[in-house]
Amino acid sequence: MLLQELDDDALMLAYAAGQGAAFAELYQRHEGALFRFVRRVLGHALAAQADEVFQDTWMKIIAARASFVPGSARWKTWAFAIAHNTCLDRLRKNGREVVLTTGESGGAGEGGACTVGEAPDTLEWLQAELGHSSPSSEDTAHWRAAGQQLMHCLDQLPHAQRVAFLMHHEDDCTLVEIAAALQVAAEAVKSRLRYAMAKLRTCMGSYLDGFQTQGGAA
Amino acid sequence: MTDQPKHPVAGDADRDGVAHDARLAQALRHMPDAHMQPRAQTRQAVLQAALQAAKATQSEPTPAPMSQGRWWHRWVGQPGEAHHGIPWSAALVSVLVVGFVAVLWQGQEVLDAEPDHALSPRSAAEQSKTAAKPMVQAPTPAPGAADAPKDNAEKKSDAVLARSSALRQKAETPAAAPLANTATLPNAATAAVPKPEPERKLAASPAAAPVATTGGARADAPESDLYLERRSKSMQAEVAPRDRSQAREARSTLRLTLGDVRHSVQPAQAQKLINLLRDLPYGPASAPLQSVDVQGDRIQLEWEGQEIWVITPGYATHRLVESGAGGGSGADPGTAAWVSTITPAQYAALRSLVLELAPQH
Repeated sequence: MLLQELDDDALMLAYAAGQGAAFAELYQRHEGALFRFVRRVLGHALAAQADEVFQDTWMKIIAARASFVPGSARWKTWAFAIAHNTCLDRLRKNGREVVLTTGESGGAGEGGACTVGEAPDTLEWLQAELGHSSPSSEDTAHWRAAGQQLMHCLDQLPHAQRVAFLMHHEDDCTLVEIAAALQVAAEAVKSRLRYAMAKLRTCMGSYLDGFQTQGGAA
Repeated sequence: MTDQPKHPVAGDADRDGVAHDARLAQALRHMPDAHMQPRAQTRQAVLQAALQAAKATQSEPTPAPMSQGRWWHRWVGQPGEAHHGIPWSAALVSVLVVGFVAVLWQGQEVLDAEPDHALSPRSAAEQSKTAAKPMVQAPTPAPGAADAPKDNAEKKSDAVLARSSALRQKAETPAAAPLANTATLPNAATAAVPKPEPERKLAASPAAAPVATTGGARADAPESDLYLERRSKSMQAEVAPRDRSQAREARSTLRLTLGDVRHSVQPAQAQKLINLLRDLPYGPASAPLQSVDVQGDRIQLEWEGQEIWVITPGYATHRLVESGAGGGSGADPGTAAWVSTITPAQYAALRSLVLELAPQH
């Protein structure tokens, strides 16, 4: 059986048995998602350390290869839990306050007083200058601006809510998997997720409204 | 990106009951870092470390499964392995400790068999009352268990003393049976056994009850309780195998010393003396009479390592010689004594009987 046909758990077991090629396949599958997760959890202020934390995460995965037990959790959930813990360590080392229990109470940044980013979207400006005002071009420009704003809004979210949102929306983890990875109750994860989404919607403001009026559907 | 998840439209609840927001997911995919990748050096370092770890895993010797080893390796562990199999050293130490304790405990009474009154003075007083009752009621023969006191504490005391009596009788040889049978304890346990006629008569006589002791009335005196208790212990110690053989040798003859002259007489000849001693406050000991020593007015009787009586005109001093039985707390062995009064008639009768034991030339 080809390595590409194996799922993540089987690849990890193969690697734990000594197959280096299995790890290469595993790394290729999740390199981007894990790097984005690390970068976004660290936030804009520690973005420069994302590479280092990302490497530490994979080193921990390699060191813990023998302790991975398939069935208790998906490999992806297990790996993201390791990444999350590595990020937490780095945040603490850098003196950034990490509050993990504010998910239910709304936490810092509540109130949705986010301001819409003022940075000009160069692509949108270029497209406008070139006369490319087709709906697809507008949408692209709009979502690039929305992505920029979302990065700003994510930075303002409390850590616990940010992690819950990223694992849920970006990495498609279920509530149970997130709860297992963060070692909290599923209800707490649910609560954090709702707070996070409410704050992000407020923060995103007209970016999301404009999408509804322009695109109608995603 | 091929690994971007596909989310439903905004407002649709997913399998967790929390709606995925398609607009936020779309914004996520358009974030500035959405297409960022780690540096090539980082990727190279990770893959290199992973390959080295995989090589290290392959080079490690695979431990042989237990089924390939000999069958006893499952119990004692593989050769060279530590902390596997049964901890034999711990098992050996456990066996040694158990054996040592068993050797120390050999011939000893188990803890639960200790009479309660040995621990509490109050229960000792209750024991005294229990023990005193049959002496007063001795004229009515006890039919057995039906007449046993209903009180639980009294039952317990009776059981303890009855067992002591049984142990004592078991230790003695048939040759000493006549003497032992006549030397019964004045307690409820012995009251349940049919007594010889002379004892019944003496117990029923008015002289038996009012014999005064230095501690006051007999039934209420704590000293008499202690005396009975220690005598019970002494009888228990008598059954020890070590003492048993010595007792067999000693009871074959009775040593009689009159001044400087020593005689050996048959124990059966002292039967009259034993019967007379029953008139004294506590009665004779259960063990066979071993020696009688007469020095002037002083008559000393010794019961095979249990008791020593020193009888002088007017007083009889009882002393236990069993190790550990003497005195109250902290007293030396053999120093505790109970002094009671005897009448001049009793003393004269006792002395004449003692002198009669001497062989007539």
